[in-house]
Amino acid sequence: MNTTPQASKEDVLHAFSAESNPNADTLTSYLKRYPQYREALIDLSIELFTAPKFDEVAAEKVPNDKSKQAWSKFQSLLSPTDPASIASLSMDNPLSNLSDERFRELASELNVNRLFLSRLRDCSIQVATIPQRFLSAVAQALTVPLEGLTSALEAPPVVASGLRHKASGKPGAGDKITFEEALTSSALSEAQQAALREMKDE
Amino acid sequence: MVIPLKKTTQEGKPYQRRTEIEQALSALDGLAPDQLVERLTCTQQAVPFEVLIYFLRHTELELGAKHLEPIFCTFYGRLEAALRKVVSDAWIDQAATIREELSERIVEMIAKDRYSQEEKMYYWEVNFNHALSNLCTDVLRKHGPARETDSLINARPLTEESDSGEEVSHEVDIAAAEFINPNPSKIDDIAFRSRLMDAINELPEDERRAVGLRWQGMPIESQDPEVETIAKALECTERTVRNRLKRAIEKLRVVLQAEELQ
Repeated sequence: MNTTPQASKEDVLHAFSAESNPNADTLTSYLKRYPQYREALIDLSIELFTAPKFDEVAAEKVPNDKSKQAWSKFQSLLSPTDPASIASLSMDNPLSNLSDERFRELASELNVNRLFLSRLRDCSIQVATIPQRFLSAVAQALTVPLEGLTSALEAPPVVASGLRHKASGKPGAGDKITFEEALTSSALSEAQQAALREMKDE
Repeated sequence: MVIPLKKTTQEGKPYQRRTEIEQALSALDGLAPDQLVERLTCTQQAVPFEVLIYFLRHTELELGAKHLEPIFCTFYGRLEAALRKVVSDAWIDQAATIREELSERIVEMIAKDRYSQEEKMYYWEVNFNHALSNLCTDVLRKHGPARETDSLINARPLTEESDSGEEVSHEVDIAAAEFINPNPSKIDDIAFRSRLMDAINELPEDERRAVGLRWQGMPIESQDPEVETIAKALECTERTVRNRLKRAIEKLRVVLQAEELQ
């Protein structure tokens, strides 16, 4: 109880509801200290005492689509500047708009070659297999939020126009390669591959 | 650093959360987002609802969708389970519609609170049980009585004495004790407790206060003038307290018996 005897009714009631274990003794001390709020304190004590203890309910599994649906609704209500809003996720791929020079520089900063970085840019690598440390380094070098970068790279792979006609169906997530496959098939030096493997999460 | 509540006392001090909530938040402060999500979504050692509300409503924490979504889904799952207990199909018509309205309102309130400068939801971080219980009461009141066949609404007191009426014996004490501790496993059951809470809230004010204080363990009378008693708290005689308790217990027993039958 940190309130003064002259505290407002609202402050006193708040202090009582923030007591860890409001019981008859707690109520007694409040009644003695704030006789002017007697009825309000008694009513509040009864409400608090009879309120169900929701934390004790074991959560049953809510169908995934139902909580997903609730999440989408929640997300749609957020302001566009909210870090969790849909708008924050729909940023353009920050690797697509780089000049050739900046692209080369970035490859060198990250200690990878241009082929590897192109594969990353074209969303050809499964994001879930990319080490967080590497993604963070890319996001930092590009000064973009990690969340936005990750989301942008989760887009379907960009297929070079010459190859598009040869594909029988639309490219999907299945067409992406793993981080490890990208390491071994992008003509990276042994040292570069080793440095990138070092970043793996496990 | 744990974000303090923006609401302040008239002296300008920030309102405090309950001590255990402040401690839980301090323990989680500074965790990397992935670890935080792991801890908050853990079902073995569930965090208090207030903690989930804290992480859901403060944009300053900069949690992106990737981390906020699992926290939200955990919260939503637990909220649905809690609402199924307190707004039960067993005694409320259209319970599913009411539960949906409640969960939708809470989701909307949190979303609005994230960009609002007003501290509308601060109390949900202080005492979630009370905040949700109040919201349930408001929504249920809007929907009208639980159902026409509700046992309490149709209950008739067995006796109708006035406060100054016949002598009330110490049997009331025994009845009160039986009522207060009818069956520990039952009183701990959230559905039963919630039904009892509704029943107590439907009692006339004087009976509700007498039974509410007795249930919290306050004595009806005491030889020691220093001890707070229900009679002193309600500024009435001991006999009046006993009469009120007797009337209240008779009504509540109807609910208890109805529960026993289910």
